[in-house]
Amino acid sequence: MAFMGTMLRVNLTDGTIKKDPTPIELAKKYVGGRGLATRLLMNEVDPTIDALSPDNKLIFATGPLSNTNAPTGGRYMVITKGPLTGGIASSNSGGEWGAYLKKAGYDLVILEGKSPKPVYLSVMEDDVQIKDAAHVWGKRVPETTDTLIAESGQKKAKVSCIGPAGENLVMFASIMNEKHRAAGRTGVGAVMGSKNLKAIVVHGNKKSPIPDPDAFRDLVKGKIATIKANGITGEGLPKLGTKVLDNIINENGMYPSRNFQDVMYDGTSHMSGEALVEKGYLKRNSGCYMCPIACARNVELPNGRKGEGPEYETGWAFGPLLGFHDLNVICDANFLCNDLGLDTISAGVTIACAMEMYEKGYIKKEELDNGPELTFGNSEALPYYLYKMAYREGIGDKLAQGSFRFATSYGCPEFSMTCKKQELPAYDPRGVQGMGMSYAVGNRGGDHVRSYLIAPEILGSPEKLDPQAVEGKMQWLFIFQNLTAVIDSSGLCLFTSFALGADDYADMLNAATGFELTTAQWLEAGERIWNMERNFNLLAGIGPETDTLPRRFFDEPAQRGPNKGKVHRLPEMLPEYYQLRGWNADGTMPQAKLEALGIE
Amino acid sequence: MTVKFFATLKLKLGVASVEVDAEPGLSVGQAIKRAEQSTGRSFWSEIFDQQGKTFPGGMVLLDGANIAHQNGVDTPVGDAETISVFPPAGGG
Ligand code: SF4
Repeated sequence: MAFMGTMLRVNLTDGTIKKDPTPIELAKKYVGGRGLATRLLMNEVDPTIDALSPDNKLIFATGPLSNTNAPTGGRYMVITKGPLTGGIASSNSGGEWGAYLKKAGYDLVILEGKSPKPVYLSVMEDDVQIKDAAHVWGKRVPETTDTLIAESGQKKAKVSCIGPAGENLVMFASIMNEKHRAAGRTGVGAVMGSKNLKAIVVHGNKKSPIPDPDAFRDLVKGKIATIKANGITGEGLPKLGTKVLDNIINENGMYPSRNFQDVMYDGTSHMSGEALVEKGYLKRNSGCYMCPIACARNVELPNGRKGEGPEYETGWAFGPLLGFHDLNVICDANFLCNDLGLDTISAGVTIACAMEMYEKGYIKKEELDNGPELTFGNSEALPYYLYKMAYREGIGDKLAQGSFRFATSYGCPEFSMTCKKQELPAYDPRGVQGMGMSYAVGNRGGDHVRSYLIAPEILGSPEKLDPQAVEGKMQWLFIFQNLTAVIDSSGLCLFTSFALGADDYADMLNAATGFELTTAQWLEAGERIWNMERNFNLLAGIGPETDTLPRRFFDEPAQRGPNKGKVHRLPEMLPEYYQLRGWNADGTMPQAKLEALGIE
Repeated sequence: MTVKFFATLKLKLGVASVEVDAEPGLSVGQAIKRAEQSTGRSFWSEIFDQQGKTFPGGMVLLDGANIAHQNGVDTPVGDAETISVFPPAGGG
């Protein structure tokens, strides 16, 4: 049945630890991971609470396919009410931590309340303890990780922790596991910090129970062969990682630079995935647990510094978006964010916002306390203000609230490139209509991985759609949102979906859980998850008026490239999207829709 | 005109681009064949299937516009200056 059958409930206020049965009957409706954890959060947390108060809960969740030999079965998700958007926060990470939580015997960990002092949670199979974390509080991610592994006495123990940014409640702080892997988005690290929880250390040797292990192994072999035979997952991603996208997206005229003031960047070839290889900085690729793709980059710079990354989004947010392309600066800033526990996308887009405001005179030089000027192209500013943000020093204290709150405090929210207060990723909506809608209606705000329409609109996978067309796009968005909810919740990496389709996931889920659901039923579970998340947001006060994009994308046409003159056409698509979802014409959710999907 | 190579194709060929003669009426497919000759390496089958359609994740852009939404490899190059050739690639 793939689940370990037990979940941990840890009350950090009074120090009690309970082992409860995992509600398997709910997993039939909500799959596991993201879906099941959101269901539990909705059952237990009032969506209107302050995200950083002890009333909030933080859930670490695995899926039924985590800790199996299904391709990429090592992922976990962190679900909570988020500080950045004020709505559902949900972030997904790879590496091995997720698999090891299950090896320790647990499907989920629910963290409640707030510890009176810094602590960490040690989960060594039956031995689960809350331990003092005074000695690692204030420490960066690598030192914390090494210290806690040594303390566990288990070389193979895995650590998921926050850095100084999470401790200091930076609203886009990440949770890092195995030093380089990030549950990066939506500020889940700040919630962990607000609970005085530094880390969760996991280790164990348990196997996930599978009804017919031989049949499962054979099934999985076929899926791995499909992944290996696919041009994207078999060759493109292993060779160049996600950074192969720099040139693709730039040549397609939708690679935002200078805070989305331009849709292309002339120096892209100097910092692209190809350049990382040609300059000899890329040493090797590596992969997460049971991953046949292995898209991770292991980089060593001429200055001797080593680390993982940068991914496509990070390379963009720390380079072209800010008007420069020095790979040393980009990679170093990436390493710094991993050490401090900062989301690279929100950090970069927030600095880009500040640069535009500075250049346009909204921020005065005196506010920088003699720090580097916030001008596009000034690469010195990047590490300086990342550090200031993480430690909330000077203007960094305001930047740590994200670009929306920052720009609004100066009376100019139009410079914040966000949806629902979360910073946008590296695809300009003026060049790709469906992806722009995906940002606008995303449950966790500006985000690319909850319905990656770049796959059909730009990459032609599974078929090529015209990125500027609006007809028929909302049907694709609907399916991608639902299917992605299933993939995330199952515990697999979204990148498998370049090669695998809905039937493949249904096959693996059925074989692992023994549920015997049809593909349509699994997709309906995805639809249920999407609607439940939307409902959380509506109850939290994030209404349909937030289903939009920054004004720039409607008012300022793309100035060059293949999309010259184009704007985003949201008003033509939004009504169709609401209709497809079965929501009211104003975007609110009819009770009948919740009932039809069986959402209690 | 310039034919630019990207991703694993660029790394394999060891060149970023080649110049090809492109008279009016030349198709994108013919221009790519000329680029193949000029590099001395055949790469057509890494980009196109037997019907001449790009594989998922691969693409050919004519001045930034994908030929998949024009006339495929038969699209005339017209007065375009650049063809960009990408083998299957993806990310997120
Ligand atoms: S494809 Fe990349 S991110 Fe996904 S599981 Fe594999 S290595 Fe990790």
